[in-house]
Amino acid sequence: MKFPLLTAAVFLPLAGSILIAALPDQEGRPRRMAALFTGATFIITALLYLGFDRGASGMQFVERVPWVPSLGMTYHLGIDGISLPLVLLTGLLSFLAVIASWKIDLRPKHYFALLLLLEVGMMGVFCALDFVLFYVFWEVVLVPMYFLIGIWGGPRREYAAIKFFLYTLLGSVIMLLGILMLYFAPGVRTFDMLEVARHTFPIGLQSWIFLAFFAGFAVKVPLFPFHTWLPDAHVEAPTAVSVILAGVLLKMGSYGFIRVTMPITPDAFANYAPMLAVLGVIGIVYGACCAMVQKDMKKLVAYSSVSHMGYVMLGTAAGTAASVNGAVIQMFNHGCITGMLFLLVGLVYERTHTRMIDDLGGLSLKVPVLGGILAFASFASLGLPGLSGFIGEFFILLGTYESVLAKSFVYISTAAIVLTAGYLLWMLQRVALGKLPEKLEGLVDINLREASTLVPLMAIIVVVGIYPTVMLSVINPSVTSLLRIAGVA
Amino acid sequence: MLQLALIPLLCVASFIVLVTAGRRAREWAHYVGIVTVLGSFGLSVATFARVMSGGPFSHTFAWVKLGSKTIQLGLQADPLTAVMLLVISIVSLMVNVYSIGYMHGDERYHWYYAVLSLFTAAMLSLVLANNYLLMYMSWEIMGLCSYLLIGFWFEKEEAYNASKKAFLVTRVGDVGFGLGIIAIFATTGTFVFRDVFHAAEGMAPALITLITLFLFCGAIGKSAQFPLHVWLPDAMAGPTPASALIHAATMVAAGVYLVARSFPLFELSETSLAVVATIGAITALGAALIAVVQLDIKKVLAYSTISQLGYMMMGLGAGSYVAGMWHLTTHAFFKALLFLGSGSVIHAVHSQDIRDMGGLSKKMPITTWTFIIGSLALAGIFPLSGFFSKDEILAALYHKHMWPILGAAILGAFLTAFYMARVCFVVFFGREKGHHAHESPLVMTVPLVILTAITVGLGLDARLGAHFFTEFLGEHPEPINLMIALGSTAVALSGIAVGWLVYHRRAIPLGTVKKQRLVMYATTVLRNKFGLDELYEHYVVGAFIKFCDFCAWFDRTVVDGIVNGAASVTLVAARAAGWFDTHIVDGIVNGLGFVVMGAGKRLRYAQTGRLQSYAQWMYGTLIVIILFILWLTLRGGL
Repeated sequence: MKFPLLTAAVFLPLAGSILIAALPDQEGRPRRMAALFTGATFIITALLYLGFDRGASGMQFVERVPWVPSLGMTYHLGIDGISLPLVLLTGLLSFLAVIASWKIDLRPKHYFALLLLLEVGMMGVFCALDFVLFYVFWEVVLVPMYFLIGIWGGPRREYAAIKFFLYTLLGSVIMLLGILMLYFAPGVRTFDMLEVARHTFPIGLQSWIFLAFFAGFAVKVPLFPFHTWLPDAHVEAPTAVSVILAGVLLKMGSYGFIRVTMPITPDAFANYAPMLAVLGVIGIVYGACCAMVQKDMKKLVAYSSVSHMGYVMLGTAAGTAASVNGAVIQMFNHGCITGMLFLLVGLVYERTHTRMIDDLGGLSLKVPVLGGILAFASFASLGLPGLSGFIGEFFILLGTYESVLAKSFVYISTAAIVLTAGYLLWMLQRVALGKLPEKLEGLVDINLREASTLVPLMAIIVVVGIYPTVMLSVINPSVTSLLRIAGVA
Repeated sequence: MLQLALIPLLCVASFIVLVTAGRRAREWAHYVGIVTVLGSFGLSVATFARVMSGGPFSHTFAWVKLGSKTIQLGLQADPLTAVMLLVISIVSLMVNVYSIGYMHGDERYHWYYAVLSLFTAAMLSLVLANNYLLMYMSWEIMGLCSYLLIGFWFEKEEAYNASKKAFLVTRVGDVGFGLGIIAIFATTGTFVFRDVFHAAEGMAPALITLITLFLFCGAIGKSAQFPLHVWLPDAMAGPTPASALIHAATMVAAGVYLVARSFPLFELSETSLAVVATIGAITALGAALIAVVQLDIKKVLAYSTISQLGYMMMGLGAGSYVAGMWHLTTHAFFKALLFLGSGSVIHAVHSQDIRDMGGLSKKMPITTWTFIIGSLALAGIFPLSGFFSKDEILAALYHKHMWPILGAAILGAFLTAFYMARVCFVVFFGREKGHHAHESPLVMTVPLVILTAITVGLGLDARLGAHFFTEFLGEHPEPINLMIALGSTAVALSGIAVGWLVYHRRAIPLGTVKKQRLVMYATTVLRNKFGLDELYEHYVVGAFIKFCDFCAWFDRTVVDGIVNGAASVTLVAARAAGWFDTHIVDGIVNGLGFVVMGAGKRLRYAQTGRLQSYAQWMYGTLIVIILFILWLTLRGGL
């Protein structure tokens, strides 16, 4: 039997979490343990990427063990080209989040134990091929996230944490109904996601199932108008948690749309695709408009996520090879870019003790490296060609133009790139350019530890931006076969 | 492939070296910049020779596969590319050398050279691209470099506002460009020029018109054509040598290049050609009018650039690809010359206002005479290069019987001669203004002399040059039309004569003229740049920001209000449901109620703020989940 890499990727962080929680809290021990375990997990995900068979479209590294045969439950893990980028992203961002949290001094033991538990849930969601596992991991994410925001968050942390928890819980409970509807549908009686996908359901049932899953996924993405938990959660969350939240957590929703609804309820998906596209396009424009006038840098980046995830939903809804490839790679790219932006906001906050755009200015004069990297991340986010942000958006727009959706979707979302450039450059100008306020004279530029959280992301953003085949050779075969199953292509 | 790829990659290498070295490169940044661009120049010459002797060649590789479609990218060298490569590498080389003097001692000297290198790389790869996608990517990266160089002195409000404005306004045009290439790929399945042009022959005319107009939007933004020209005058906030390279000679000409490169498409649509010519005419005339009243020497040149780009568009719109490209080439050299000359003046008098200048001809002879030759070329005086290329455009308009546009072009030619005469007489002659100006160092004057030589040379050799150039680019040269040649010379000379009368001889008293109501009114309109900036600022940007404020308010109050309202209602209902909980046996409802109750309790705990309770809850929830799984497992096992 081959070494169960996926089980290791999912449960290594759990082992780390338990170990950190069990061992007495000595100075620096939790963070070192956390770095060790997330680092090892990242290496495993890198091995998965390197060992992935790029010619194949099906599930790889599959582990399938009967679990509760009488109930149709199996311990079934596996990844294909759609989940691999997200698994890799989870491994990388979790490790970087630990490094970025090095200075946490409020109950570090609990903090790092929870951070690792969070990784278990995210990794599990992207690897699970059984609905029970999928659901359990989905809910596992909520709990540590709730506490991470609720204890280590900003002034309004309780409100934000509860809002996040209840909102997403409400969505996921409805999703559970969807899972049960599938399970109890005639002739199914299995939770295995691949087997369920082989069944064809009548359109009426498909619609109900789709809507149930929609509730869970749309809140997570978040799709307009279910997005208002996001700015609150981000503003209150500590830096590393924001990185994970925007970088990985949101992708659980869009991943769900592609992994679950597209192959299992293809007809309902096709029927509701225009609705998804409309919500996506509204999100793109509305998110950008809201971001434009935010006074808090973190809120601005949060709203920009709403806008960028709108592109993912548009690409998913369009359902062409180019657009879905674009959507999947955009998830990965948005994770890197927005993760980076949140790290940078955190670094600015640590130095200036403010995130208010009007209180900042001229940072590039005093801390040119930090200012330069902030500019880099902003340009990546606004979709400058040569950096990865462009790739996803461009392929999404290209694919949507080729799809059956109305051309106006493409026109509007392409025009929105002006808005994206607008709010990012305006922010950059007010934060990094101009004159330095007097009270910010004593700033120091970024140190080696901080740089080490940013440089890997910069490298990935450049490489994927110039030669996206490094990711798309993994993604394309799976997307092509998925579209064949869903009967779209 | 390697030979072509190295041309831009050398400059990319320079960028990487300089950015990595950071401040350490302050002493030697210019060596890296100059050596790499010299290498690119050498390779460009080799490429030019190869194209001349062996014809065009190209290399293509598979970039990405989406579904079953493969996106091909690649590089090519054909006559058009070869000419552009020489223009770009020569002007960039001159600017790199000149900047040693101009940027000497600047705090961010290394950064300046880094961005200059990246820009050169992007512009070179733009003209080397054999497909629309790589072209678009280079196009946008040039936009980034333009942003960085305009905002180079980013502590100044004027600079950072101008850089943001430049990026956003050109991006408006880029939306069109982007949609154009998306439409191209969706219809033809490729971005590669040759295949696209081949496929276009069978396309519906309406679709071709749509695609070409989309592409032209990009050109309007980048080449500062009406109504998106407003960013270019502001862009003068950047260092002058950067303006010479980016905002006079090369980047702003990229829009013209885009239309020229897509000429096989544009030729298929009469409508699009007419639009190109009309926009060109409006721009050429409007910008020339504004240039007449500008007091900032760089702004005069900026409006002049806008105006000349309009001429190139007119040439293209008249169906003469050669006229447009020939003027692009000559303009690149003489306008770079004029900008570098103005930089030399600014360097000497520490002001950009022409009222602060005067009588500089004695103190700065090299700058003066090179600038005057450049001005004469711009005015279109025989036998300088500008005369021949402008003539080519006028002839093309004449042959196409585009009378109103020809009229605008001739009027523009008069104004061009007039405003350049104004600058020359005011700055170099007349009374000295008591500053201690002196000639610039050799690193600055040598590039001026070289560019002057090229400007004169391209003209002296014009018959030969034009023939060579036109045949090289694949069209037969138009025979010089004597009537147009004489007519345009007369117009240009009269423009200079009026300038001389007004600004040198003072034969026409300016003070009284300016008090005429009509003149006052006209001056106000022109000083306000026809009110376009104001229109955009208040009625487009201002109104839009108000809309954004509304969105943000709507989001906080309405969307989130509904969420919060629903949450409180649910909480009340859930408590009620929880009370009945024990009476309901159904598992699902039970679970739901349990969870909501749990959340309700947590709410209370959270409000107590006792940290201990959080940890208890965390482990409690974990245990519940584990128990749940165990229970399921056991039940299944039995």
